[in-house]
Amino acid sequence: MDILQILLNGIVLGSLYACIAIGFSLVWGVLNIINMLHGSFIILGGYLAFFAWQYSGVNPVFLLPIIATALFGLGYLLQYFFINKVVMSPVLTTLTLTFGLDMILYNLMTVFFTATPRRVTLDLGTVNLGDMYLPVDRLMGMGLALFLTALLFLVMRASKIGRAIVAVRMDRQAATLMGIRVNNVYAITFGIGAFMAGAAGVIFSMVFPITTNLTGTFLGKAFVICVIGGLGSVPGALIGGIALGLIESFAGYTIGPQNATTVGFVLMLFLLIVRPTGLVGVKGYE
Amino acid sequence: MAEKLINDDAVDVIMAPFGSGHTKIIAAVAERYQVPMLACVASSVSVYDQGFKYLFGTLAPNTGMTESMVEFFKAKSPDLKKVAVYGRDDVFPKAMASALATSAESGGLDVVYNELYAVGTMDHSAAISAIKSADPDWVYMTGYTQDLILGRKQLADLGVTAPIVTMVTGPAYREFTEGLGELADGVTSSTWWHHSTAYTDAVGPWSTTADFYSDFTAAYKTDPDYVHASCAAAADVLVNAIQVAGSKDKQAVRDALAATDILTFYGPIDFGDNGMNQGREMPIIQVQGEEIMVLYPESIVNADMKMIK
Repeated sequence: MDILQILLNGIVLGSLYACIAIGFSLVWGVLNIINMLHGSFIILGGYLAFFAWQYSGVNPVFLLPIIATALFGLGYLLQYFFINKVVMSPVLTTLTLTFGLDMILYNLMTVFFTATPRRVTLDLGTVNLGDMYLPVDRLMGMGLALFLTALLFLVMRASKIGRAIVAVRMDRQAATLMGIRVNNVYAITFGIGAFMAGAAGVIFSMVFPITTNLTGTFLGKAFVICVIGGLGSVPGALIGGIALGLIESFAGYTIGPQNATTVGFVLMLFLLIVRPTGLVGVKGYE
Repeated sequence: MAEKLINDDAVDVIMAPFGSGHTKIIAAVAERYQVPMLACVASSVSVYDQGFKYLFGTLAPNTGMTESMVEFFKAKSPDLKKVAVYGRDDVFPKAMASALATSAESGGLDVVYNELYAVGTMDHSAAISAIKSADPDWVYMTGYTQDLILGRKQLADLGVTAPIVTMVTGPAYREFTEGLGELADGVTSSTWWHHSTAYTDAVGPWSTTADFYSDFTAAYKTDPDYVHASCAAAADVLVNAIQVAGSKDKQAVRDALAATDILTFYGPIDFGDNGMNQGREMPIIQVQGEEIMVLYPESIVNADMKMIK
């Protein structure tokens, strides 16, 4: 029974990891930007959910669309007015710019919200399957990961903006000649990434104590998940997240929690050597 | 930063940063330049056993906390047999977890789980599933507030029902109880100071513990914890040392600090050969409802211990 519990723990944890990585993967895959702001976007979504809940008493789940949309707006503006200026530069330039923007956002959040850990204390209980326990808030995270993956899949396949994003990713110049406003597409893509980070932050405010100290941890996880899952494929982040969750869960149980995160990084290095595209990534995106 | 403070700003004394890990690093810089340093939030003996002459700490050694806790819980819960120890792999939390495991074994308890978790761990479910399988009577977890909030929540999420849950030093901070709500109820901890202590005739601006408590709550609208008290006491000690030395000369202040033997509102401060405040009787506290109650020592008890149901 322990093994089943560990398996479930891993899947649920992996789904939370997927929530972290979906937006990051999109921005990295489409814009070739390693978005150092991503962890701070998640924490900002968490803080907005916490304070909105604290002052209004409204369950953060109902606030998710509003907060995620607000993050979309922030992401759109940052990309349109700042990152677009250097988007054609080597990846190190955009990485440095987003790092600088992240320092500003991180410190602003620390000044205004302090680094005190905060959590929405709406304990939603657990679902019990015999001797196995599944926390409802984590199941909501799992639902969100599946929903965001499906939403992204639909947007990319069936919407005009999705096709424009794909076109810009395939050939920027040809897309420009076809009348696509490339800078706008970039900004929308970055905004979608921020939207997904904000949505993850709302759910996380019930699962994790939210503090600016976590931004680097989230960013590190997103990076590992993208390498494991691979870029250029919509389900990559979901598969990479669940793979990492399962690995950490079984490693934590069998060889000790002290070594669990190391195993994830070892797997990332192994994949970089033998399969740079990740588990389901597309060649050319690595 | 320490180099800048010493070389550019020409400070006479450094107040150490938060935590044993950071203090240990800055202490080496202060020692190199022979600048006295007062540490008010570093309690790991490993910080003080490097032979430094300019480092002084107002917290007592953290290892002293665990023996009294084991004996106290054994007395309160005669059925107590098995303990699970789960600590963060970091200077202070690791030292506390190690000390508790040692104290529990020498106290006749069976340590059924004893593991560390890495800094930055986002999930404890694998470890907690293993703890649950070991069916302990007592879960002892160390870490910083965000680790402990997550750990306590996951203990509940995964159905661990140990009657004693200790989180060091979670309940000593208000954000721990605020971040957990009802889940904080019943969690015990050790701490270096609690405002229920009642020292009188102390040196410095607060001649009694009650005076400090009164001034603090008036200014900040919240109860002080051991960090506030220890750091305010460190400032008392520094002022006293400068007065005794008659100057801000670094060597004279260092010698005055080494000779310190005074009573502050926080308690007696008498630095040992390694620079740590000598061992004192440290309180065991428990969250009961929305209050932090003192279970030990007898002189300041204000509640009886409750088991978690």
